[in-house]
Amino acid sequence: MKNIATKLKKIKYFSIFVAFLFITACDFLEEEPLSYIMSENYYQTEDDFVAATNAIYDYLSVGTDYLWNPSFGGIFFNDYWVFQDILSDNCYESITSLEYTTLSEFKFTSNNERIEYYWQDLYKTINACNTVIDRMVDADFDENKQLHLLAEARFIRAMMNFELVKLFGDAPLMLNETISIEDTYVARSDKELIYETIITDLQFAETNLSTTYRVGNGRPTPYAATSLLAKVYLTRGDYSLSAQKAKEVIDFGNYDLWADFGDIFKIANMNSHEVIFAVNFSGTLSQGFKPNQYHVRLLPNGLDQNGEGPENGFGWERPTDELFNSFDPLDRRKEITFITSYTYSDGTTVNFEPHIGKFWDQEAEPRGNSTDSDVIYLRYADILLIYAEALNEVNNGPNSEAYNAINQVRKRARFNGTVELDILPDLLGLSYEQFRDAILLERRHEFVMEGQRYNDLVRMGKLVETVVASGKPNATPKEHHNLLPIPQRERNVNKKLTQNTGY
Amino acid sequence: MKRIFFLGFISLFFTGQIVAQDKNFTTVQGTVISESDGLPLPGANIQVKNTSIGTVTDLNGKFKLDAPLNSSLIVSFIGYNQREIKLGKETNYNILLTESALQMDEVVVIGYGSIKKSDLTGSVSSIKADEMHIESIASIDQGIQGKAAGVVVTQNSGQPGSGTSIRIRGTTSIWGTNEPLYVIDGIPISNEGLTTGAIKGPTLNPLSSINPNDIESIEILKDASATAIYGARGANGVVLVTTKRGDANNAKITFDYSRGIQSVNNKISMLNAEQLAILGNEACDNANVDRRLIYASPTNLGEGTDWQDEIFRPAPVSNYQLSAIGGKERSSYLISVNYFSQDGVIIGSDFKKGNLRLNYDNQIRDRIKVGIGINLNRSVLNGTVTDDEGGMSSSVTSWALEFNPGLPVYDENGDYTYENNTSSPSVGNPVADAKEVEQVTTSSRILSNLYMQTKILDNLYFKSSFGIDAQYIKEQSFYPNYLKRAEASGGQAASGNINGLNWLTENTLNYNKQLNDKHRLDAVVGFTMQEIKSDMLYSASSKFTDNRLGYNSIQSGELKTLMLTEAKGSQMISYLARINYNYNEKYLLTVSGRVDGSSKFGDGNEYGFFPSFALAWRVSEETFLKNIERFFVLKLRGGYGVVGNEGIFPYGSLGLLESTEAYFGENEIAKGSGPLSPENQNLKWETTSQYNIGFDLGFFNNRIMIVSDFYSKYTTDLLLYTPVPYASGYENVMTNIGNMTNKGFEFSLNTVNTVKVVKWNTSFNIAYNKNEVTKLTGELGEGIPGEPITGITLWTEVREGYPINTIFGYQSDGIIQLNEDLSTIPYFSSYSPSYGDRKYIDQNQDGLIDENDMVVLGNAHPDFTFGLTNTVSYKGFVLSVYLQGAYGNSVANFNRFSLESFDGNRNNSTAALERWTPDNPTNQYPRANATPMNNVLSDVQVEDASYLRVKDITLSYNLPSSLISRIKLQNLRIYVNFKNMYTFTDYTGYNPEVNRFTSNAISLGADYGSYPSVRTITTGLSLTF
Repeated sequence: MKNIATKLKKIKYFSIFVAFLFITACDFLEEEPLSYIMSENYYQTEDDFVAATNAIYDYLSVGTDYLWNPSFGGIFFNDYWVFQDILSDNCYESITSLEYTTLSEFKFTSNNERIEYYWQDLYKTINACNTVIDRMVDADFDENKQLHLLAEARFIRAMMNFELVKLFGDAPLMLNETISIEDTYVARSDKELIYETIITDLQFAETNLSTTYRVGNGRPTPYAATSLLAKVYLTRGDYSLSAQKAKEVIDFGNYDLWADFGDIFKIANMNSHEVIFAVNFSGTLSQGFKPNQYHVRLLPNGLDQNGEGPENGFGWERPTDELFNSFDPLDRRKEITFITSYTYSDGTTVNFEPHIGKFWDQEAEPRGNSTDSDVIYLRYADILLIYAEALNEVNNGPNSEAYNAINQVRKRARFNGTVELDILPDLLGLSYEQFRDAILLERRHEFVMEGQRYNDLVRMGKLVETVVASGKPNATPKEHHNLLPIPQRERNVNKKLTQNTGY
Repeated sequence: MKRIFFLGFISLFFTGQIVAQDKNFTTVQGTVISESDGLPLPGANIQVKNTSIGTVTDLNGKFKLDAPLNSSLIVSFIGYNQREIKLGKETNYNILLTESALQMDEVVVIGYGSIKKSDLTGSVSSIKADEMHIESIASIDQGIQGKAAGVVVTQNSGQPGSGTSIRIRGTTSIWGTNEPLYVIDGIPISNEGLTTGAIKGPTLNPLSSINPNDIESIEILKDASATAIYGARGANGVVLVTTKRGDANNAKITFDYSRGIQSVNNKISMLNAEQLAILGNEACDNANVDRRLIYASPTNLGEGTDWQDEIFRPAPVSNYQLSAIGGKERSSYLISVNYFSQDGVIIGSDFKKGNLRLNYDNQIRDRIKVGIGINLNRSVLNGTVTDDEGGMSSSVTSWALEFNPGLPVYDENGDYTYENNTSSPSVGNPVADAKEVEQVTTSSRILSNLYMQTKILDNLYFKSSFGIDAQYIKEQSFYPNYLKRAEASGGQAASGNINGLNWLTENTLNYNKQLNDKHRLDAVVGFTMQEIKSDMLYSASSKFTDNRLGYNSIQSGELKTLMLTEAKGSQMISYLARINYNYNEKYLLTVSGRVDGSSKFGDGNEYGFFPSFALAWRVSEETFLKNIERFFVLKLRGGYGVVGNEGIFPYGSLGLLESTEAYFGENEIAKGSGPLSPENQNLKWETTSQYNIGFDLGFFNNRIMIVSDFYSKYTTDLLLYTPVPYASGYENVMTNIGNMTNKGFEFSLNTVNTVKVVKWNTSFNIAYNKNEVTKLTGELGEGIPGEPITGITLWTEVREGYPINTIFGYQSDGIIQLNEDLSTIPYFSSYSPSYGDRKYIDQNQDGLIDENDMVVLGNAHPDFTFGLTNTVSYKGFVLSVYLQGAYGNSVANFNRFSLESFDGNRNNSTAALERWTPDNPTNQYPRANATPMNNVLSDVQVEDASYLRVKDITLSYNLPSSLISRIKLQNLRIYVNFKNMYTFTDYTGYNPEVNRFTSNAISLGADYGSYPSVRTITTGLSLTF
């Protein structure tokens, strides 16, 4: 009997022990990701929202993909400016990558990976903007600061939607942070609807961007929003609104052209008075592989000798002969835009086919490669030419203000660094059509590799005729190339997406 | 009668003299003899039943001990049926032991307990230490290969210290793990090799931290009724490793030493310098480009350098093993020390490891037993860059094949020749790379468990154990700036380390009861908690002006390319129960269940229940068959169970932010946090339900023994990184989508062919598995592509309706001959073909070759895998020959794109000598062409990689005891061992058994720049005293 009692007692102790284990187990399965912040605990303080807003700029520039991954780099790392010039008469591809050569030759399909990555990056950035915008509802800090951060996010969302609508036309319009993936299987929205949200976002940014909080390099100002509105209106065909917004920027008076075209891309001049908005990069701060790819992609290969000349240059995108020869030989922009020779310290000079060298500040960064130069999104010369183009459209021909605007740009091109040459005379007495063509040519010479050409051609309805007329080798542009294809991968995933005609 | 009594009295008298203290004891002595050959059995165990009194027979099979009156002796010896001898009045016993032909009654470990093999209801393979041929193997996984039906072991790389992939009954997961769960003395260890990414090529095999010499047995649980006790981690099978314990009655010290020499199994026949130059010139002519100056006068170039000979070498391997086993009364111990050293057959690679093990058990109270096992390990792996691809990151073996034989290793100044001087400049000097690249992995690991077992009631035991697996891995690499590999970076160094900690507590209650001879019950219930966590630090820099300090001075690099720390962890809580019920030795029932909770899954989905049941019927125990039992044993088995797979990275269900960095101007860094993953609380286990039926059939007292199983595995809720609309801001999210099936059979046959003077045993196993992905990402119909390689992206893809690891490509159609019309030949849009180019079949006949013309070219999984061992022993000699192979598997041999480039840009194999020319209108190889089109994967590169390998031949000799007893030795064994002596295969690469992407389950079957396989000849000796 006693024996059984002992046994029972043992069992009792054992039961208590097991029960103890069960109790301690309750919180045990809670996950604590030590190296990641969980979104559910975030978005509370001002610092959180500043960090969430800062993230957007990473997606614009470097991106967070793993280095050497083909999708490495954000929007402006390379494809933003590469696309616009290779999808035109300006540049061709020397890289053997099919993804790029098919773009250059207008033989790309909806499977083109570069288009796919670009689409992906645009939406990734949009989601980061939407996150700031949606989460701000529950924020609790200085309301003016809240409004400014919202305005920053909405400015960039507008930028992204603008790039999207220009390249793809109708597209899924994402206006909320992705909480549930199911909600993102949406059909394409009409491009007019997208334009409306772009305009609303930019108007909000114009009103609410602060001139005292978070002011500085690389962040939008109210006039950046005004400038972008001018461009959006122009692209959409709201010419008088475009002219009005461009005029506001001109009348603001704080922006001006550099006297010398060659000064625009000097490292020392980054973010200064001609630049309205630029996506900032820093080779110095990022320590390797994260600056924009201007020098890597554009400067000639093989110049790196004995510690001199640009390192790691590949010369993938090169100007067509037709572009090179389209300049007046003395146009300052020709001298600055192209590099055709390089001289080493011992006096030996190497000559080569024209490459694009305008972004290379040889004095500041003699080795090229890892650069501090920024990718300019909006600069004053653009505003002047938008103004001229809009006025020409509004008045069905150029007026004096239109001539004045374009001639400011031409005047600067005459300045060879010391004196103004007797070339590129001021324009006068042109018809509507002639002025339009003059604008297109001026933009071509002013903005080589600055992310403009393809959209300029498309906007003016001259893509196919211009590229064909240029005789670009192997290029076979068709009418449907006025839009890019919706990436096939996206259509495979989301059956609601239609394809642009012709693809 | 009186005489007997008298003798008994006398013996009692003598006994009384010896055991002066206790008159209840008697001295008995005798000889243990093998029934089959009449020879004495040295080392047989004699134990007095229900006591700790025991001894071992001496070299002549004789024993002597003091036993209580009227007690019984238990006489046992490995490989023989145990006998119980009731002590009578005699004092001298001749005990005959009969051989247990195939050890039907050995005990097998089944997880949270063990069971007699004859009572098994599920599918379990058991491998004993002596079957593994541990001579010159570095880790236990190598010893498993070919030994168990349905267990496919693939040696991923020939690099010393690198790992294997093991698939038990096929592949069940796409993004989760496919490796089985390893349980070392009760501790489930994480076999996910911890790695930081600081080195390229094969990483250290985590299983190498276990010393193969310490292994007592390995049990492989295959079907769900066996693995369900491991619940959410049972889907890929379970490998239970049991280490040797001490033995109080059999104290001995064993010393083993072996030394071997390894050499490359085969070389690839390459062009010499002259032949390459001729090819190069022809290639330039055909492409209408200028000939290269380096090929100006081919005849002067001669043979040149054989770069394979320059990087390969004969390499020694040696193993030192010392172990001591012993104990006293209630305690026993095992101490084992091991040092293993292996040089690689590629210069600059080697592997060294040391192991120390202590296993100690003590019956501290009548009812309480405690014990501990500690394994300490340190491994150092010095690797070269292999199994890597493309340009600067290419493997040294690829470089050795591609490098121009016209160049010497060193230039006239005695410096390394820098790079290939043909027009493909990304090929660096392979000798410089093998010797000067530093890639060192250092691992320190403690694997330990301690337990206390309490006997609560006679039939009820409570066991509580605590295990720990702590690992510290350091990976360091340095590429000096003068190497081609460091051209872009200017020299680069990386150093990463990971601390891993895995702890586990298990508490189980075991109950067993025999009721009135007919019912036997074994039951276990338990509760376990486990946490697995790790933290990593990785830093890297590049641009070194000084090469002396390397990875020991990361700060010397001008560019700090990476600073990264990451901590992660996951936790599990489990409740388990199992009942084994045996009715009258005829009907066997197993029911088990486990509830697992894992932190990796979403709220409300953390817990899963994994039940199983199995029935077995020992047909031959039925009375109507009982009288022929000696000739015929039959057991039918059937079972069903549900198991899971939780082998994914943690935090998949959480919404996480990523750290970002942007720059404002030239002096402002803007740190930020952006969305990394959306929350997904629906995330749950992959679930595999498995049916198994099988039978065990034995004839002639089990001298012929057949075990066969048929199974079907249905995996649902596959964890997949499912592509989601980019419009969401994300690319993929982990979701439970997709189903997969595996069906197959296993057959094994063991025979004892002769048992008299010459003993000959044969064991054979073969298995077949067929996999099919039955459902993928819902309606998408889109496949999941494997890793791209040599510019080819879709060579393998997981597709609905196809087996996993199917290789896709184009079907070649010979060579375009001069009499054909070029304009009618369908071709890739990006290339205009010429005479002598390879043709491809236009499957859809649309006049164009494109992705729509790709067809199935093979599968990386073998249809059949098999192993065959023959062991013959005669007196002290034992010869064992072990063959192993696979049938029906394909390998995409990407090396052939460079070996058969025919472009003169790199060296080619001698296949180039048979290239197409107008005078040699072959249909096998295309023409020389300096500007060929991009690589196209076709049936040309996808090769049948079936093989039959003479895996192991061991000849050993146990010196006669009469000889060695003079030098006080119990046993002296000398042996010679041949590993991988010959491989029968049609595969043209170094090794048909190859796996370029070791950590990617969906990219199996690629060969590119792999480390070649080696053959090893080892001699060794083993002393026991």
